[in-house]
Amino acid sequence: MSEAGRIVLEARGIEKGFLAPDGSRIDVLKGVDLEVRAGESLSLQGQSGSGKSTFLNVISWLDRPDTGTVSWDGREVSRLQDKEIARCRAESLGFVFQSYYLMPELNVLENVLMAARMVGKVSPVETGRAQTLLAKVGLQDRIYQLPGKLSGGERQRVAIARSLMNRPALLMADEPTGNLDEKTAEVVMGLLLELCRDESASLILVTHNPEFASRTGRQLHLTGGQFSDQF
Amino acid sequence: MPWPLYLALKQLFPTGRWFSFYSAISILGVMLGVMVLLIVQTVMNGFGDKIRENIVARDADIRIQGDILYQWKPLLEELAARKEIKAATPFAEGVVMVKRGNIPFMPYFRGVDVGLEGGVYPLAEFLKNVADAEGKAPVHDETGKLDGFQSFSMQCSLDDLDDETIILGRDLAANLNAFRGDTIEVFTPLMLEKAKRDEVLLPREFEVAGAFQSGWYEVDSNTAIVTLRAMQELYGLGRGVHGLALKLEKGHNAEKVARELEGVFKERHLPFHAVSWLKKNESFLFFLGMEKWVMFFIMIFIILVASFSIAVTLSVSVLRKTREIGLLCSIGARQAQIAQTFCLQSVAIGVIGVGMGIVGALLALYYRNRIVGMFLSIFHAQDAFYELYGFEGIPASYSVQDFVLVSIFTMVLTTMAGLLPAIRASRLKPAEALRSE
Repeated sequence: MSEAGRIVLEARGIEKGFLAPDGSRIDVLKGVDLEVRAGESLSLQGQSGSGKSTFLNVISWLDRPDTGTVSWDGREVSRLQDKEIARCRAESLGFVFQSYYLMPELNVLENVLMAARMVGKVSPVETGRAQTLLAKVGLQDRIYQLPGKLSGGERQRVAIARSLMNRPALLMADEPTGNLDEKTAEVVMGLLLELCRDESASLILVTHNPEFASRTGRQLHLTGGQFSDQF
Repeated sequence: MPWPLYLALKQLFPTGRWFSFYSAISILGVMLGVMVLLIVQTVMNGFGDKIRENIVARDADIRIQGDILYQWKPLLEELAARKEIKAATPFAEGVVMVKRGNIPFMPYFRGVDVGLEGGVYPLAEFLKNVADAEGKAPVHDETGKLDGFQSFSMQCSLDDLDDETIILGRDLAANLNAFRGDTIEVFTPLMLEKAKRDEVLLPREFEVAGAFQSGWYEVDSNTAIVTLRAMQELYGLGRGVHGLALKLEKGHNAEKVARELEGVFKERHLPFHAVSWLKKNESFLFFLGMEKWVMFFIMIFIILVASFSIAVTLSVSVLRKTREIGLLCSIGARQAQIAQTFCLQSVAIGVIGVGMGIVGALLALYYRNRIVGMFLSIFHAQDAFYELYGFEGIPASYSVQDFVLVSIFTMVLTTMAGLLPAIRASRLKPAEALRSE
């Protein structure tokens, strides 16, 4: 199979529910299927509480589905050992969250390099790549700053650079512009899409913004626990 | 460097800052605990060693005792010829009453063989110790009125000791207000024996030849030295002695040699006992050792409090960093590695705290006399303090074993303090951690 046709993520029959405080069960995902191919970008829209973030957590195996299977690059995750899952997650997946989640004790460069440390790669080559990524997101002059000194937009740009540090096959962005003003959100989203293209990374973008969603190759809506536009 | 260690160190010593406030408090706690433990242990060792030294100086390594020994000379020669025995000397000793003016005292008199005594007891050293100790005697005019004080040395040598003279412990001399050339009267138990038979024995007079100073107040305030012959007369021993004192060559265990000698005496049916200084002071030495460990036990609680503060600090850290823990999972951290990160923080706090505690303890011990002197001078209590303990300065005896024990003990406690928060952190579910507020 050609690189472009390679399936980097496959989710089949994903079901996930939670117990409500009153003891009743809330089914969030009801048999969701998804395939993501290499280099593909898709957006995930839906109302708050519709299960978008839950779906991202499940397909990244940060949360286990009640039923269904998830495969990364053709390897079924439930058959992998914890060590392999962590390794695959570090090497093949990238995350950008709404709240940035930068480590306050580390400066900008160290935060980006943290992803490389996870896979035991800290060398001048990796440091160079981190600096290149930070230059691409326009933070080449702020690499030794602590996150506390950065604006929200700048922090999110650091988070984007970190998510791409290990050249992941798939990047998952969970409302990356949710905490930003309109203008900054526009800049950040532009950078995110551009860098994913440059790095040939697939992208799953969770967003409430239809305009941002329209810039991806495929738009999915999560309603009633299922995608309204299944592949 | 593995990333859990890297992150642990970064959380303790963040980029752009020397250290975080929480880590500084925890390290300080461990440091103080280790410092106090080591200082107490080292000073207690010092006290113990000093007391042991003084016991040996007073009692010799082994004493051969039994009934009054009349035929002691052949035994002395035989013992002195043994390779493990460095020197041997006879002694006669006991309590007497001395009186000077209206001041009575009940000191311990020791009759010594001037020629042999120096081989067993460091008498020459004790005599030299009073080289600078000046006596001040009141001077009266012809009418008996006080006419000032005259200073003179109390120093003497063993050559000054004869059957008519006496060497007093420095503090005994001071208590008796006795100076060189003064006369003191001595009353002995023999006088009571004579009185029973309606005989009168007059008190014996001795001229003060000088003073000695062993450095141990209990000895210096309660002991006087006379010749063996004088003591034999005071106690009516004839040519007999109370026993023989032995000094061993270095490296020999006093208790072991004493047991060997006991065996020899038993074999020959001799009515003597060999008592080592260890055996004679067994109870005292046992309590001395116990005291050290009781102090250790009490001081442990300081380390426990410090460890508790580490556990609290790290638990708060786990709470504060819940979302970061979620992030770490999302970028490839395993639960065990998350636990390692927090556990390594407590290990690092322990290592740094122990290191700083050792340095702090060594510094405090090096300047111990200056520090204690400073505190005592505030309360004008130097003299009382040294008189109470009988030592010149605070003794200290460094024991590698104690330093290693305290370090390992502290490391174990601080590591355990980090385990609970570490386990808690590792059990966080990544998705829930990311959602947490």
